[in-house]
Amino acid sequence: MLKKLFKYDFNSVFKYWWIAALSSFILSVIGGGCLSLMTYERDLPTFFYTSVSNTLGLVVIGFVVFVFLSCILVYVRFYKNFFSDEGYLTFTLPVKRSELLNSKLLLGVATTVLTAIVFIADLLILFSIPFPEQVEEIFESFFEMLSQLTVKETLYFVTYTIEFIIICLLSVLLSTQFVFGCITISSIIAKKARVLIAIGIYYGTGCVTTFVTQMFFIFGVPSVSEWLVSLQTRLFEISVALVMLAVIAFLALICALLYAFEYWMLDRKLNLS
Amino acid sequence: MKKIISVIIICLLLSSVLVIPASAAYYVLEENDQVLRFYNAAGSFRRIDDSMLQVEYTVDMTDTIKYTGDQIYVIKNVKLRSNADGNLIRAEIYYKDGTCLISNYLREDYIDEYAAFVNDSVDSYTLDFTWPEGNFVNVDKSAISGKLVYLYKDHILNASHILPMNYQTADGALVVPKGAAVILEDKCYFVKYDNYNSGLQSINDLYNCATNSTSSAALVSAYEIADEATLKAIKDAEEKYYGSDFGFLYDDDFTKSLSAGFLIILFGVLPLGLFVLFLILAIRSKTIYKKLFTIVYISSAVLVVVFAILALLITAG
Repeated sequence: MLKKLFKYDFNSVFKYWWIAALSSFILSVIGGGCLSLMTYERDLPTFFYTSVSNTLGLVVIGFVVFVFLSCILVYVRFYKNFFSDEGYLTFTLPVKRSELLNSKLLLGVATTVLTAIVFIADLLILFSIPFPEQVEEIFESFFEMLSQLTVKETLYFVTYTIEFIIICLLSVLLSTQFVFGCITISSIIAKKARVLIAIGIYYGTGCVTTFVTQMFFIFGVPSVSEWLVSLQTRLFEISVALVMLAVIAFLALICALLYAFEYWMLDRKLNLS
Repeated sequence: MKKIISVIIICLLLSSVLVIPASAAYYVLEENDQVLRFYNAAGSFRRIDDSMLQVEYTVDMTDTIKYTGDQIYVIKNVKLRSNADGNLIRAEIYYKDGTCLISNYLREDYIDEYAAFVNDSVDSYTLDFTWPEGNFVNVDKSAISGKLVYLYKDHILNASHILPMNYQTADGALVVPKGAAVILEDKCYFVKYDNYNSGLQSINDLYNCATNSTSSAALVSAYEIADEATLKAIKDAEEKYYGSDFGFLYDDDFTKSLSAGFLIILFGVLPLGLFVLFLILAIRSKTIYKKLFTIVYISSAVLVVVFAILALLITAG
């Protein structure tokens, strides 16, 4: 059932998302052309140069709008599907509430990953058009570095890469759950202006978490860095792998707690009437 | 989806499991190395800082050689590394039984300078803060007042810094340790490495001496650095070492203890508490909450275990 739910959720978002993605792709080509003109054509008339740089500015804004829109589509889908009139129908479907929630979370993660891939591709196109040799050189250096790794270094590289990917995915899941949580709380406690209240809750809790993070960075990170750097070289690499594993465990813990809280709110506290 | 997640978790666990024995096997080789003295060493030797050695050649050999009169070792390969200028050469001879012999060779350009270092005929020491790079302080021998004091165990263990004082060339290619600077609050003392000071040869020896000492007697003798200009230069270098943002927080033991306590609570006590709490909740819960609480207590357990391993590595390393 989860597959079907996800399919419908994804289709409802994708029918707008692909237009935004295609637009960003076209913008990246235009931006690449503008960069080429600005870099290699030195004798442009002033008004032409100004137009080209303004166009490049619009391209950057276009990228930002694309990323923003991708996130908004997911949150709008979540809100409309659960807390608007559609919610009556959604919660009468013969599926578990956890599956409904999982489908939305999966949609958030999948859309973010796809958006990230498109964004990186856009940046590559943007810089490859004016600077093809430099971009090629970067890739060649990277692959050359990989080919020179020893067996031990390759193992560490693979370990770090897998851990990094898992950290990125868990971070995306965490941020999606966080926004969903804010929307759910606002829908439960308020009857009007739910969106505004959700934004207020998001920024309010964001301030608290920022304060806690700052405390950690002031008191924790320098000590950890000092201690890790003081380790002998041979222990440093293992320690980095262990620290990344701890980050994964920490993110998984927070995600599980947020999920439990979200599910509890949907299960016990939601009153659509 | 479940299968994909399971495969990813298995790959991660396998790669972690494989990395640890692989790295352990690699370092068994280095643990058995023996360092030869410099070929004209008159009393001290120094392992070359690996970061200075860049060019690398490996020569595979199958011949046997006679190492001493009694034992014969079969050579697996010889690795030669040198710094960019080719002044320092390090030969690592790997034997088939897993041991390694390391020889350091010094080019003629540095022979005279090295001889001057070893014979103590240089007028100043270099106090090496290491970070940021190039953070050295030249300490003239005349700045060391000659006032002899005795340092006790608490002085060493509670010092703000204990840093190497070396004879070293301007490019850092050749470094000969001559003592340690013990910085206590506003005072700075020079502990010389010689036979009168319990045969100390390194900062590690000084730390181990203080850590292992069970008596309340004086540990080492030291000379106070009393010259105002030198003390100011050391203070300036110390501030550069701390950095501009958080230096004031690491200026005293209380803040260091606070940081340590914060980390122990965050990564040790809190996850342990969460582990116990959610283990109980997972056992008592049903439906989806059981699965979620299980994830929480497993994650907490991983945090506690990782923290314990890191604490062990830091205290042992």
